[in-house]
Amino acid sequence: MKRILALMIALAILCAVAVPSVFAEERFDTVMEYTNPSNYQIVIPETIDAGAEHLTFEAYSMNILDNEKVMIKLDGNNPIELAKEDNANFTAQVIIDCKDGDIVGEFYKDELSSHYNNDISMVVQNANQIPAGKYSGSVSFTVSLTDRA
Amino acid sequence: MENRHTRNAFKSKQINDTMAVGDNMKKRNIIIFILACLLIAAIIYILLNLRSCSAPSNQSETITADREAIDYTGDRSTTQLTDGKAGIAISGFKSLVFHADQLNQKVNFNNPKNNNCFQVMTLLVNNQNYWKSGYIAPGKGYYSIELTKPIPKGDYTAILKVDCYRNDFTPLNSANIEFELQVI
Repeated sequence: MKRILALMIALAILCAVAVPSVFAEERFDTVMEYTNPSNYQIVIPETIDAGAEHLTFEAYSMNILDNEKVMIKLDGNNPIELAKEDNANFTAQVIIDCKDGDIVGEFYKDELSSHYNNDISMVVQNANQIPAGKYSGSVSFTVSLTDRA
Repeated sequence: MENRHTRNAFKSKQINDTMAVGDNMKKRNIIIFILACLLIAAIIYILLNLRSCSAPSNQSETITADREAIDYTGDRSTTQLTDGKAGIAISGFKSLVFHADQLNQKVNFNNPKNNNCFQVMTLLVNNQNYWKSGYIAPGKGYYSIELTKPIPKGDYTAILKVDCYRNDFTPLNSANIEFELQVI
């Protein structure tokens, strides 16, 4: 009886010692890394109604870092020249009142509306001196992702 | 007579004591045996559990489908911009990495599917045109492009010019996406 007991206890101790050594071969740790680059999707107006009070910008996504921002700047001349749709000889000049020179929109992380949306106004120069009618033209914007100061 | 009686009583007490010691030994052996069995059972249990954790098991369970999801029959109207204004979605990014001395480069350029206009994209590096797309329909894009010429190694501030057009070629507002281009 004692022999059997001694044998069983020895077997139990052997198993207890063997467990870590058996699984030590299968387990290992490693570091997995991935950096998802910042990306965003802004929405620029398809057409701009120069008679509107403000020029506004929205975004569908702003997947950027806390220390980054997306800036929209007016590209090209300011005032913007619009041509009369039925007679290109007549033009209207629209001045966009930008922030810090040429900034018209700015987004921080997860913001879907530019925080300058209520600040960017538009003025049609000498509106009462140009012929009545519809004027149009396209505007170009430069969009960049930069570090926040 | 009395002496013999006393001796017998002593003898029987001795026998009783011996039997009691034997009983105690047996009990102790049984307890040790049960404890050993429990120890072995515990080790086997731990072993089996460790195996099931370390190796993926053939689970008999199957995925339960989300019952709230409905048949998807294409996009439907979603939230629109304020003031009822139509907008053009432009995808932007911070940086791209190109390989020097090769024309084929990997990119993620696309005309978002919620747009109602075509987009023509032009890649400008140092004001030089390295690639130009055709009219990209909404929901279409490029994962790789073929440059007109290789770009030398270096860090650049590049521009992806995105010109937008209606179906009848009427130009709409456009955007220049500025990004960091590393050519390695």
